[in-house]
Amino acid sequence: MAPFKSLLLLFIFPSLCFAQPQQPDNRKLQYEDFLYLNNLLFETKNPISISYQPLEVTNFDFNYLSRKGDFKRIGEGKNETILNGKIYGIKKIDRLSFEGGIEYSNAKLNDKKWTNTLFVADDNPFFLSDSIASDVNSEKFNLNGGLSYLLNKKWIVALRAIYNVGSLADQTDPRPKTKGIQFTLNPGINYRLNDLLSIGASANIGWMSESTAYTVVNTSEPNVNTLFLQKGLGSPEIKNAIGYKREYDGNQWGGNIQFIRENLSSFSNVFDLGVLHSKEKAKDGGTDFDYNGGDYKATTFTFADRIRLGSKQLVHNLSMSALYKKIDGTWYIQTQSIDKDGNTIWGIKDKSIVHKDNSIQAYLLYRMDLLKGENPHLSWSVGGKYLNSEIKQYPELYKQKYSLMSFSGNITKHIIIGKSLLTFGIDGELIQNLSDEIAVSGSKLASSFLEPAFRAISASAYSGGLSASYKRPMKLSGYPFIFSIYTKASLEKYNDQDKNYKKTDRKAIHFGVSLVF
Amino acid sequence: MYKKTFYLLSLFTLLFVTSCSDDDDDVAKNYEVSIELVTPESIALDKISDLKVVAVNVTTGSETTLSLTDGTVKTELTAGEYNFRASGNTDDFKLNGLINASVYENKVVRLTLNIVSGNGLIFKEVYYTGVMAYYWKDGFYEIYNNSNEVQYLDGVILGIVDGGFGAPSPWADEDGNLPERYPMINHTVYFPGSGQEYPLEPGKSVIVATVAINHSARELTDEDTASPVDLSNADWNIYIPTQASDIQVSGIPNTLVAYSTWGLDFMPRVNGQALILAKLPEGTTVESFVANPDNYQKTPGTGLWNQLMIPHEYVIDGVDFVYPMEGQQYKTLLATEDVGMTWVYGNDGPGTEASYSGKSIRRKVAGITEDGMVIYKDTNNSSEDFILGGQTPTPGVHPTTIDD
Repeated sequence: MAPFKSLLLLFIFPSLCFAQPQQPDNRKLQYEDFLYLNNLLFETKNPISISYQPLEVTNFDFNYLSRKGDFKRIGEGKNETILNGKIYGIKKIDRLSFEGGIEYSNAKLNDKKWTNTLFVADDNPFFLSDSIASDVNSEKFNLNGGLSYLLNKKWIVALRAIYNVGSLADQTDPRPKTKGIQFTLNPGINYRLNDLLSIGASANIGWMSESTAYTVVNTSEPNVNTLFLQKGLGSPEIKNAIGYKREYDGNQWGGNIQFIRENLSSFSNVFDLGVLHSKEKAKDGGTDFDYNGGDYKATTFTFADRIRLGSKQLVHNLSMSALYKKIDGTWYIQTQSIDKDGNTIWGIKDKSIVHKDNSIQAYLLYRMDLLKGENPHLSWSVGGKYLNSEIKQYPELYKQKYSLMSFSGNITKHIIIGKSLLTFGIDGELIQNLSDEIAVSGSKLASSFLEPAFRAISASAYSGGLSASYKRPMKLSGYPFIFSIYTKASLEKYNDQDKNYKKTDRKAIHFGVSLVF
Repeated sequence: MYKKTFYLLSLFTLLFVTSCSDDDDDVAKNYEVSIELVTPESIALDKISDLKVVAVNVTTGSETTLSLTDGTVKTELTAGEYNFRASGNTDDFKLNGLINASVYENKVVRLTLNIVSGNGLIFKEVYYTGVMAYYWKDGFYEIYNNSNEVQYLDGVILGIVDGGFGAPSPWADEDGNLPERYPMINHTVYFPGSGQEYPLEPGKSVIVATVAINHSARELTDEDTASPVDLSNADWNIYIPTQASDIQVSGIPNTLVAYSTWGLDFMPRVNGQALILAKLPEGTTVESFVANPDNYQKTPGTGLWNQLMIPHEYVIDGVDFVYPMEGQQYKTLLATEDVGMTWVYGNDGPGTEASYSGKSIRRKVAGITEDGMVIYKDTNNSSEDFILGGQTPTPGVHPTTIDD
């Protein structure tokens, strides 16, 4: 992994080099909006989008997020505080463009239980689990670097690399300690057919590894030795938590193609199709024994289309996307024996798919930006989302199924006062449960885990938030930069019938400071 | 230009097509299992009453009670490793049978019922879990005469069978079959007497204590929990002369040691370990039995101990007390002694460890005679005969009501 990290740092370093001292660039006041509005490929998976970035920027950002409330999904803490610091930059040197960043986050999660994973897929049904609520500390570090090169008038080639490393620890028995690492390579090409049209292709190749080891200090406390080997909707296998270890190894590969019509002064369109295969394999026991904890295999098909219609005063963006994901979870039936040296051996007697998960998601978003100069002074958007998910457990034929529809809206107003910029935003979302069904009554954790988890993810709810920021161009020893402070408060309220969640909500407050060069 | 577009689209189409393969045939299924019951030659199947057939998934611990039609049991089971158990009674005998079988296809299982052993001496209640902090000396083993004849304790062996603690017995062969002789571990003790010195009347019991003192009066420190038992009135004290920390108690007779491997005292694992009561054939004394080198075998694999082996036909009662965690429960006794298994779980309920829970496990009361004698349930199936999970110890106390 060391050569990859060196390569990554080579990409990141130039992107974080400050631009030469110059006059303040007003575009940087709202650089995130500017990048979105002027780079049609901004949200695609193809790293050639780095060549399309319309400005150079370096951003130092430090922020604090606090969330609390009982309307929480499985794996979330009742109270969460997250400190985050990141540096992000874009740099262009002749035909070369760099984009990258470094990010560190430190989270404290109070009253968290059931999950202890970092980079394992959220929908992987095979995870270690305990029912004791704990205070958890989590650290994550991210390196992200990309390079895009204009070979000639026709071709662009690019490569992005992403490296994540993290750890998670809990000081309440049973005490899992999780360490994870994830590396992704994302190469891409683009071929220009004519002045307006181009086609692109990108690949996504990734590896992950994660390990969890449990210790128990005070073995006399209730339930501290009980560890569940979760396997979807079925009854988990129960093991002794003392000294239990699990390792995940995973990989992913896939690709996207893009068809691009680019004319920022009138009609532009990006059409993207993608497919991604992911595999994760859990092995338990470490050096003591070798036990298969389940194989996860997922395939995701994506479609996305962004239509941009712009003039000097007004820009319309219509984004549509859809996703279909299917997951197979394979479980092994294993029997224990002792070899002649007294070592424990688990032999595989049978394997079969016990978990099937199919989901469809569709999004539609319309955004309008009214421009003053190159930046928007008013932006608003409306959107809708549809989600349908069905999980089946074999051979018990347990089932959970639900569908949701949501509508969201956002208005952001930017006000220039002298050299400063004040921004106010308001957003809201209404989530409506269209149907739900859960039939897991024979499963041992039906009432304590599966049903509460299901009621949280399938719930009707509404949410809203208010945000404000203040930005001011400044100079330090003649060096121009933009100082920014921002805050956001939001509330999510449960709006359904389940007695465990009725009248619950989740509040969040977010503060941050950033320096943009 | 169009060729390049064509190649790109072809490659992507290939990616999509390979992603769309479906593997519904690989999903986990249920299989049809037929169980044919085979009875001893002299006993017809229709003469057996209270016949019960159970399939126990070894991995999950889930039990399925099966119903009998025309001498055959048919059911659908998920794939896995199973113990199929059967038990029943005739006017003269108790019968039971056990077979391990793998179910990964439709199959027929032949389950043989055997006449079970026993002379009326049984474990009425056993307490091996101890209390915090790590105090296990308060164990006791209450032996009851469940017959209507006087039984003699002279020469009766009390032993712990090697194995247990959440793993298969190291003595099982590659197919999981247990040996015909039981390997003894820790200390194997026995009652003194030449034959008729220590009678036990019908309906009476004796309490054999690890240490016959009042444990509930033990001085406690911060992490300690009071023991639930006062064993100062025990009938027998297990004294291990080779262990300096063990004690004799004035006025209470000691059992004798037949053979030892290791251990500070007589101490089955605090999470459970199989126990037996055995009586050697007429003419064989315990002393002559332990002096015979043919009655020993080295621990398989490690060769750690030279272990005393007691043939299963000498066992008059055996109970497979196993580790309470699901999927980690393995038998160490043959079906002829105990077709089932039982366990104590922790104070937080099923799925928790029994260790230092302060709970004992007692046999169910099957009936009470007109003259007040308690008849404990004894079908050589501890899954049915004992109250699963455990209870507060009641040494010397016999219930006055029948258990369900």
